[in-house]
Amino acid sequence: MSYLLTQLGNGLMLGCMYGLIAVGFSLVYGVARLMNFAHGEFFMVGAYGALFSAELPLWRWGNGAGATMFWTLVISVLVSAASGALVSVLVERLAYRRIRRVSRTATFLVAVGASILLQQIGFKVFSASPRGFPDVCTPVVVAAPTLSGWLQPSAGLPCEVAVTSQLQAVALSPSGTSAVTFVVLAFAVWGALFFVLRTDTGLAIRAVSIDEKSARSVGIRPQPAIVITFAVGGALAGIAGFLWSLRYGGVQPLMGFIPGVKAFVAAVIGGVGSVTGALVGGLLLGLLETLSFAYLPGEVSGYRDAVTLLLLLVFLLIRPLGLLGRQFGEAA
Amino acid sequence: MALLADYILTHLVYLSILVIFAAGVVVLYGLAGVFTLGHQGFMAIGAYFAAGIACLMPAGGSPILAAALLVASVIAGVGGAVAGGLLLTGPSVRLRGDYMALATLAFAEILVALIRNTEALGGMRGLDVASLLPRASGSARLPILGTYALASVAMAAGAVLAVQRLGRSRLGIALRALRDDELAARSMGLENRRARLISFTMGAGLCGLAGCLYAHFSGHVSPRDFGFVQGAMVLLYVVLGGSTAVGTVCAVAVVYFLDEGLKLRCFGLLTGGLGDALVNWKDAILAGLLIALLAWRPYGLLTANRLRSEP
Amino acid sequence: MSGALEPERPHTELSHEPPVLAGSRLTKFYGGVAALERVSLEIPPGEVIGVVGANGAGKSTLLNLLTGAIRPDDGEVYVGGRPMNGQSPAAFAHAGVARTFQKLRLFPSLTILENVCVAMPSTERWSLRSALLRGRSEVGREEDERARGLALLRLVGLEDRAKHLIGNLTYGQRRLVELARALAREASVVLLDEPAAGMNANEERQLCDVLIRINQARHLALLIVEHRWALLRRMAHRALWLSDGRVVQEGAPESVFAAILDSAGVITR
Repeated sequence: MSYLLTQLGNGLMLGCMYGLIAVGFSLVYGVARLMNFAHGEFFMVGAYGALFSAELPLWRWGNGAGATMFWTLVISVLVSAASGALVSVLVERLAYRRIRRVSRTATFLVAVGASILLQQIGFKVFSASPRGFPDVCTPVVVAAPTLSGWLQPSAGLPCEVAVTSQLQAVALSPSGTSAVTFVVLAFAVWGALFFVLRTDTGLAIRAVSIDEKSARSVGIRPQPAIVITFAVGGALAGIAGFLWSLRYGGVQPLMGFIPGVKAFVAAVIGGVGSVTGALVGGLLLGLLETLSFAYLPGEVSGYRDAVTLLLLLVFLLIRPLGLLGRQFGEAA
Repeated sequence: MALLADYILTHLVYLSILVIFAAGVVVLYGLAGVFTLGHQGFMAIGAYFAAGIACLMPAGGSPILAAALLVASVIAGVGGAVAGGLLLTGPSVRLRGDYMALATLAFAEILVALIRNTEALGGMRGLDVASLLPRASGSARLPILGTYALASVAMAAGAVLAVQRLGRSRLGIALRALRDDELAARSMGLENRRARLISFTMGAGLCGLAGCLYAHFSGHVSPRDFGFVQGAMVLLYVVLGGSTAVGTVCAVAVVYFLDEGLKLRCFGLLTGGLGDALVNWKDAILAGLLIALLAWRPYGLLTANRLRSEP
Repeated sequence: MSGALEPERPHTELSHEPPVLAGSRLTKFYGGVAALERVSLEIPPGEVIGVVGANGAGKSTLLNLLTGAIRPDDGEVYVGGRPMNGQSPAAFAHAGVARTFQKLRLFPSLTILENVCVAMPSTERWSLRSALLRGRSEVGREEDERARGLALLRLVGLEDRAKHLIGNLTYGQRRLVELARALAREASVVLLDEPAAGMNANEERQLCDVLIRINQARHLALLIVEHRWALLRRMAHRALWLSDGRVVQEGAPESVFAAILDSAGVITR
C-alpha cells in the first residue's frame, strides 16, 4: 500500500512538472496559434540557468546554515524562471514574430530549427556530458575565491561554495528534494493559475486566445499579450527544468526534447489552449507513466514512450479537443 | 583522383535516395497539403521490410536468388510503406493541420519506439542488411559504384518526373484545389477522401522506396536513421523549394552541398581555427541559416509573394 | 457583351418535375440563437428565385444548408426529390447543386482556366494511372476539358486571361471566374451568394446578362442571395424575404420589395 502511495506521489510530482511545461505550451498556442516546438529547450535553459546560479561563488557568506540554503533555492528558482523567460522572449522576437502571420508550416519549421539551434548551442557551450545538479561541485570547504573560477564555471573547477554542499546533502535525501520540489511546484502551479484566471493581464491573454479580432476591437493589443505569454511560458518551463534536475539529476543539452514531447501530449490530452486542461493532462500523463513503470513487467516498460504516444494518437483521433479544450478555428 | 570519384559517386547515391524521399513528401505536403511530420516512418518501414527480406538470403546463394530477393524486398518495402500510409488516410481527413502534424509525428515515433524495443529488429543497434548487390570493392569498386550511382540518379530523376507529371495532371490540379480551399473544392464535387488515398499511396510509396534503397546501399539500418529531425529537414527542403518537385531537388542539393562543405571546412579552403570552428558549429550554423532563409522566404526561395495558400 | 438580350425576366412554363432543390422546415441554431427557424422553400426547374434580407437574417446560413456546407439541426433538404441530410458538399455537388461564396473562394495556386476545369464532372480524374501515364485518351480528355473551360470563360468575357492566376484579376473579374467555375459543374441549380458584391455597374450588367442567358439556354435554376434589387428585378421570378431567420414574405419580386420598403416606413406611392 505504501508502495502505491509513494508511486502515486511520484506520479503526481512528475505530472506537475509535465503540467508546468504543458501550461506554457498551451498558453502560447492559445494566444499565438503556434505550436512552439522549442518549448522543451526553455526547460533545458532554465535548468542550466539554475545550475550556474548555484555554482556562483556568491554564497561564500554564511556557513551553510539553513537560511542561506533557502535563499539559494529561491535564487535558483528565480534564475531558472528568468532564463527560461528571457530565451523564450528572444525566440519569439527573433524567430516567430514575422513569420507567424505568414505561414503555419514555415513557422513550425522555424520552431524546429530554433529547437535544434538551441540544442546545438547548448552542446557547444556546455558540453554534452550530463552535469549533476548540484553535485557538479565537490564539497569543498570555503576557499579563497578566484575570478577565473567565476568566469569559467563549465571548466569544472571546484566551487568554493559551502552552501552547495548543503544543497547536495539535501538533494541526496529523497524526502528533502521531494519536499522542495513539491513546495516549488505548488507555488508555480498556483501562480500560473492565479495569473491566468485572476489577473487583468491573464484576462487579456485569454481574450486574445479566444478571438484576436474581438480582443483588438476592445483595445487589447495582441503583441504585448503574446510577449508576456511567451515570457510566462518560458518561465514555467524553466522552473520545471530546475526542479527536474534537482529531483532526477542530470543536466544536459538534449534534456528538453522528451519532456517537451510529453508536454505536447499532455497539452493535447487536456485540450490545447486550456490552462487547467494542460495541468490535468500533465497529471494524468505523469501518473500513467509512473504507475505503468512501477507495475508493468520489465520488458514492457521499455515501451513506455510508445504508450504515451499511442495515447496521444488515440486522443487525436477520438477527441482532438482534449478533455477540456475549446475549438479554435473558422466555421465553414 | 580515384578517391574523389569514389566520394562523389557515393554521395550521388545518397543524394538520390534523399531526393526520392523528398519527392514523396512533395506529394504529401506540396500537392495534398498534408502537414506531415511522420514521413520518416514510411521510409523506416521500407528500409526494415527490405532488410528483413534481404536477411532471407542464404550465404553463398546464387545471383538469381539475390536478384529475386532484391525485387521482393523492394515490393515488400514499398507495399508496407503504402499500407502505413493508407492507415493514416482516415485520420488525415478528420484532423486539422497542427493536429495532423502531431498525429503523423506520433505515428513515426511509435514505429521507431517499437523497433527500438524489438530485439528481432536489432533494437537500438540496428540491423545489418545482407548484401544482395555485388559489393563495390577492390578493382571493381569504381565501375560498380558508378553503376549504382547511375541507377540511383535515374530512379531519382524518374521519381521527380513522376511527381511533376502528377502535379500538372488533372488529378494533380484537383489535389491542389483541395489543398487551397477544402470547402470550395468539395462544393465543386472533389472528394477529400479519394484525394488523400491517392496522395498517401504515392507519397508513402516513394518514401518507402527511398527506405529500401537506403537499406541496400548503406548496408545497415537503425532507428537513429529515421529520427524526427531527419524527417523535419526533408519537409524543410520541400518548403524551401516552394513545394514543387524541381525546387525541392534544388533545395536538397544545395543543403547537402552546404552540409558537406562545412564538414570539410569549405572543401579545404578554410584551415586552422576558423576551419575548426566551422566543423564544430556546423549544425548550429546550418540550423540558423535555414531559419533565416525560411523567415525570409516562407513560401520557397523562388516565390517572393503569396502564390499558394496554406494547407 | 451586347445589349441584344431581353432584359426582362424570361417566362417559364409550369412543369411537373420535382423541384431541383427544396428545403423543408430548415432550422439551425448557433449557440442559443436561431439563425434559421423552420424555413421552407422550393425551387422548380428553371426558376430564378431571389433571397433578400438584412445582414444576419440567415441568408448565408440558408445557402450553406442547401449546399451541404453545414447540417440543419432540424428539417430536411431535398435535391431533385431526394433527401440529402447529412451528406457532404461533394455529394450535393454530384447531385447537381453548384454554388458561389460570399467571401470569394477561388483556388489561388491554380490558373483561372484550371479553376474552372477542376470543377467539371469527370470520372476519370481520380485515376493515378491516367495521371502518370498520360495516354492518348487522357490527353484527349484534357483537351476537351480545356475547350469547355475556355468556352465558359468566353461567356464571362475572360477568355484571354485563361492562363493568369487570380492575383492578376480585379475583384469583379474574380467573381466572374467563380461564376464560371460554378457553371462548369453542369448542375441543375446554382446558388449564388451576393454575386454582384464589389462589382461596378458594367460588371453587374455583364453578370446579369450571363445569368439570364444561361437560365434561358440551359433551363438552369438559380437562387440568388442579393442586396442589389436591380439585379433581382431584372431576372427573378420569385423573391423570398428573410428576417431574423424566418420567411416574412414570399412572392413576386415587386410585391416583396414593396413590402420591405413599407415595413421600413418608406412611402412607395
